[in-house]
Amino acid sequence: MHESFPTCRTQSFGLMTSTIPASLSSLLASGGGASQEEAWAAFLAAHSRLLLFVARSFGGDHDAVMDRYVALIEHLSRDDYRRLRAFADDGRSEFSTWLVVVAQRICLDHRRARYGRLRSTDDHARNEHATRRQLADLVGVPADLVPLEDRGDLPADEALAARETRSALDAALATLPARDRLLIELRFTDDVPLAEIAGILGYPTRFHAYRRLNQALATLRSALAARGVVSPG
Amino acid sequence: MSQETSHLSSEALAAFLSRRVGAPEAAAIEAHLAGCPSCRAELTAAHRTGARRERPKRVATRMAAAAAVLAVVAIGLRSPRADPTSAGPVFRGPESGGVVSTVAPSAGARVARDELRFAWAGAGPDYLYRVLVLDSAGAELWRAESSDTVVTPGADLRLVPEVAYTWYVDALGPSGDSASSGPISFGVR
Ligand SMILES: [Zn+2]
Repeated sequence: MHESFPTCRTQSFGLMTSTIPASLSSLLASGGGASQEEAWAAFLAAHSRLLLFVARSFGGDHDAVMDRYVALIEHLSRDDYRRLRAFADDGRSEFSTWLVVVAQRICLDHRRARYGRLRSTDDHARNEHATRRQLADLVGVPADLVPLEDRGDLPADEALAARETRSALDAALATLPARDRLLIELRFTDDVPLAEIAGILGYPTRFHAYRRLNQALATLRSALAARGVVSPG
Repeated sequence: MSQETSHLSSEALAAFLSRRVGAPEAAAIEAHLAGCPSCRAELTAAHRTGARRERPKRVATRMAAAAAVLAVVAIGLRSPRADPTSAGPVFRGPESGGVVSTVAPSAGARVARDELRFAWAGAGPDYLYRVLVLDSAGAELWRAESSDTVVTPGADLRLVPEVAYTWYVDALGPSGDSASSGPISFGVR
């Protein structure tokens, strides 16, 4: 199957000012009344597709999506478009990226307000353990030390060894630069594919991300070797 | 970590994804992200949304017209005196730009209930149409789907005389493109 690469953007860290889209600047400049309503309608005409896309990404049937969509436009227009004015004041991001992040947060809050927290912490913890185990494998932690979760059925000495391995791994992770830790968390805790990680962190291709990940794992391995958890080499 | 530690602002997350943060701030953001599953989840989801939006699915197209109409209805709700049909530009499916020309009832028309027919100009061969009638609060009262360009509502559409309603028709093309009439206010005698 063909796997598409994310858009390649090199990490520039340039402090550029973003352009405020015309639909937003006319909305914020409109004084109120009919002209403001017209500007708001034009803003929605320009961005409703993106808002709808975010609303849809939270799943559910047509009514659930529309419910979320209405919450989005209500929230964005609240207090004289306070949320949109915040973009204009900050002005760093691409507007569409900013709008996606903001819309996601509104949808998350909306869902929490309605249904409470949906994701089971148990499921999340189980996944996290599975992928942590994979990380341990990769840095060469011996298989008998791998159970990283606290399991009641383990003999006391094995449970102790597992806890020690885990804290050694966490300590070794803490010595890495934040960017490498983020890379590792995305890969081994969140199970995000490398092609996506490359897009998120701005590596030109997934191979660049792969190379960086391997370097970080090598560093982790030597940190663990220095602590005597794994054998060097 | 405490549940109430402050998370990254939307502005910071978006600036990070847009690569518009300076190196010291980037390091701080990365450090937070490395230790915060919930901000990481937002970051990944926002990136995915951005990437997927570049190759949209058809179903998104189909709903866009409905969203535009809802937007108009919501504008009407925000300001009670506003008539949704006069809320500015004619609404189009934001994606396709297609507009369905309606014939009857025309905007502001008041017709006898037993003569009520919804009619529009065909958007092309093999199009499907969906007609919706909303009350003044934007709630859906009735809908019908048809491949024809005229629909006669049955007794299941109950309308109160001298009350303002809104109707619109969405067209869905054979290749997934869509168009909408935009909302039209009408009433019955
Ligand atoms: Zn956070």
